[in-house]
Amino acid sequence: MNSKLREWIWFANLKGIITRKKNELLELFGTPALIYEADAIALAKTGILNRENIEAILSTEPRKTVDETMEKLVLNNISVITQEDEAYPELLKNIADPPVCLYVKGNIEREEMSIGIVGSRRASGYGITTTKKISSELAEYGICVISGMARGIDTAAHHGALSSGGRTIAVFGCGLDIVYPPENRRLMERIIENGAVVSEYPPGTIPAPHHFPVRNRIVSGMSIGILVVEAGEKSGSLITAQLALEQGRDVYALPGNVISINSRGTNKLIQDGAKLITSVYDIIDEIRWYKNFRKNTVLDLNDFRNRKKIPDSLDIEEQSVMQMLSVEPLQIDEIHNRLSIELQLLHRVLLSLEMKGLIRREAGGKYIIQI
Amino acid sequence: MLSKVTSCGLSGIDGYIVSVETDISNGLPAFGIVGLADIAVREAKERVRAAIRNSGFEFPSRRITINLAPADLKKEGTSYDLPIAAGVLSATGIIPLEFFNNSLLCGELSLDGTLRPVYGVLPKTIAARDNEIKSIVVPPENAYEAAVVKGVRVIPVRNLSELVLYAKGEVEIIPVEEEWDKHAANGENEKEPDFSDVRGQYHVKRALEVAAAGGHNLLMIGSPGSGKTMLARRMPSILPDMTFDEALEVTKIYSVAGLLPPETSLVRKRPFRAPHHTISSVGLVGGGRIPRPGEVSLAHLGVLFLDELPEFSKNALEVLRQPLEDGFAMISRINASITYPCRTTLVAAANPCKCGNYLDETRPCNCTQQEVRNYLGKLSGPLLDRIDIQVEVPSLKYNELDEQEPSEPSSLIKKRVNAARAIQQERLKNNRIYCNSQMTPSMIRRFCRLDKESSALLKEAFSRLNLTARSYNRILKVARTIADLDGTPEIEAVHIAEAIQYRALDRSFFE
Repeated sequence: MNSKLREWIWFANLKGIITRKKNELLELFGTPALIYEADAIALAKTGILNRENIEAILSTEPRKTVDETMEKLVLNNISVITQEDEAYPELLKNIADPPVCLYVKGNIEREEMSIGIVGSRRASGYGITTTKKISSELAEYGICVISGMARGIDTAAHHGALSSGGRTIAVFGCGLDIVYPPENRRLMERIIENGAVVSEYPPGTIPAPHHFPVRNRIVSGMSIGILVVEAGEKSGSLITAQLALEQGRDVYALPGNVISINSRGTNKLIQDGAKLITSVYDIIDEIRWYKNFRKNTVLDLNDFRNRKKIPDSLDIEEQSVMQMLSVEPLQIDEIHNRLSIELQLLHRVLLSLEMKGLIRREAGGKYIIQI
Repeated sequence: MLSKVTSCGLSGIDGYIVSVETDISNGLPAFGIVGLADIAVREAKERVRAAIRNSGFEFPSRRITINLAPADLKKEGTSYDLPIAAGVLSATGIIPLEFFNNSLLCGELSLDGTLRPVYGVLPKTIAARDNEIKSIVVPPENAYEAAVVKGVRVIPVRNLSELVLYAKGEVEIIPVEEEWDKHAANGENEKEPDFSDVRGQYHVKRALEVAAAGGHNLLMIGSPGSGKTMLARRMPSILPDMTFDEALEVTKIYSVAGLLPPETSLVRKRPFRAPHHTISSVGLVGGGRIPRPGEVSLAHLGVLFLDELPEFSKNALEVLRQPLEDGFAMISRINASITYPCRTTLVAAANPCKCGNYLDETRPCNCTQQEVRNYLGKLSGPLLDRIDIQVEVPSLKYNELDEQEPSEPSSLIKKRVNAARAIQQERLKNNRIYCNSQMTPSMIRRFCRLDKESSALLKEAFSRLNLTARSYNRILKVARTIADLDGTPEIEAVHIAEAIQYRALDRSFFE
């Protein structure tokens, strides 16, 4: 461990000073140890800090609690990556206000090709299915999927990457000793095994609403591009997209039904110039020229196109239902109306397709294609 | 002088004979009623005294004692007014004693001697018939209800003086007669909500048809305005016609509850009860200080519709379980326990979440994921276990509302339901149940045999679709009903497939 780690942690956790100022101080002093020892006059001379800031730095309380924090880190098996460290992600270092320290469980790589996926916590079946699919295919290309482990799209993104054995990173808006949302405990364990959970908040920090937008800058900061899957008109995911643009990242958006409120935000993004994504290939197309894009990909383009086809083994009713559903997700009554198949037969066809894993029935009784 | 007049009391929905004994003796003027009379019965003293005087007779200023025998059963209500007044008049020699040998009297008196309607006349008339009493004297408003019972002459009496004249043989009163068949025909003319009014919603309509055919309880989940209530209101129109005995049973309950409209003879339409979700547990299953049937009994042989099911109090839903299972509600009191029948089909509706927009694509849902989970989570467990069919009701799109083609009328659906019921009754006749939903696990094993294809399908569906174990028997029962609607003796794969589609809440409703 870095011998100056204590001062790094103390500096990172100082309250009342914004990250931008902290970064400026670091530039001036070079290391937190010097800031730790600096007196009021030296601090005032910098011209960055106001009276409250200086009082915060000089106050004794944070100097005491830093030892507590360090104990918690050991207890929870959390490692710390400082800006000084080799492992600190290159991309993140270059954003306007990189976190002073990153708390990490699992392992992160310095130059990893990553795509962030964000979206609504109240996602539709369409959003979940598509996220899982794109995320798992990104992982097959060897691309790390970064998200926030929130409910809905985030969870689906992590699951998708894990399902094809890829790496995934979750950025938390709370301390790493807290599982939020609690139902994702098992998912968190799997992410740590196959990637990392990351936070700039010390252990013991509870999730607070204002943490999440701040957290999102790390999601986009660590990624070369951000995919927004489903977002309402006033969704936090749109803020993330905005941050990503400011950081110079690509913004991709998944189009959606114009009626669906879940897709208003993403459709708006596309109108504003985000790249419209219909398959993982649309993302690959953009990022394949990056220097660390792995060329020996498992997934070949032709193979990908083939997957979209409806299997030939299906009987005629199954074929026509599949065709209908590949246009849009439908309720049983709607399929019945358009195809004039007897309801009873239709039940049988849908069940059989579902059991073949070709379609999925989502809440509300809508059937959605699953390829 | 002693006189005995026959009247009738109520226990649950059955009547029992009460003998009203009047003794007038010398002594200080007094008027006492014994025999566990409640306040309404004891107040009869004042009404009787005034009614007799105002009808032009003399009220004896001697010691009057009334005994309501059997004296150890509680008597309640105002229907003893008439027998008590008649007893007094007969003890003073104004009405000949022989008149009461073969008559049962009931009715409330107004102070001017006019008779007012009372509740429970139908079960009382049945009690009269069973005790071989030839005629019953009732207020005119109750006459049609009583006249349904064959073998008892129903004498409508307007007031006390008329009774005296009739008892003396000075006037003739034509007994009221009522024909079941005549009204059965009339009943069909009445316009009731019909499924032909409902556009689209084929899937839900089919589910209601299956529920009606097999007596299955059903839960509809859908956004506000998707038509859940409209669909539920049409459910009675596809239930099989009521037989005379069924109508009699339903009328008895309504008569006891005092809900029979005046001058009605029988309730001929299957009841549809839709209590509001603020109802108390007592209101739902019956009870109270003076026990009354609850909504679940008032829906006997009909439909109990609980709109906004998760909004009902937890207590109300808890007490509903036993009656739904047993087909009767039992109310225990210190000296007696009363049962009200309640073989009803429960049709429930629920929003998918508190604001109702969870499944709606066009309106935002303000609930958190946790709130959505909790909302329907309230229903989990024993109550949901008694609901065989759960369907989602999608919101209709405009083009479906605009659809020109008329929907199938209830009469056609009813025909299929009747046919399926006939098959069930034939198959289950030795098991003392009348429809598939009541099958016990051992009966399910006996009657729901699967062929190779369908059992393979069910097995695979269970492993692939995360169905819960408790839905197994439910799927089999519903599949049996669907096969009966098809008229096929064996359950086939299509039937299983359809039954699985009716398990919306088992099928990972939440993402």
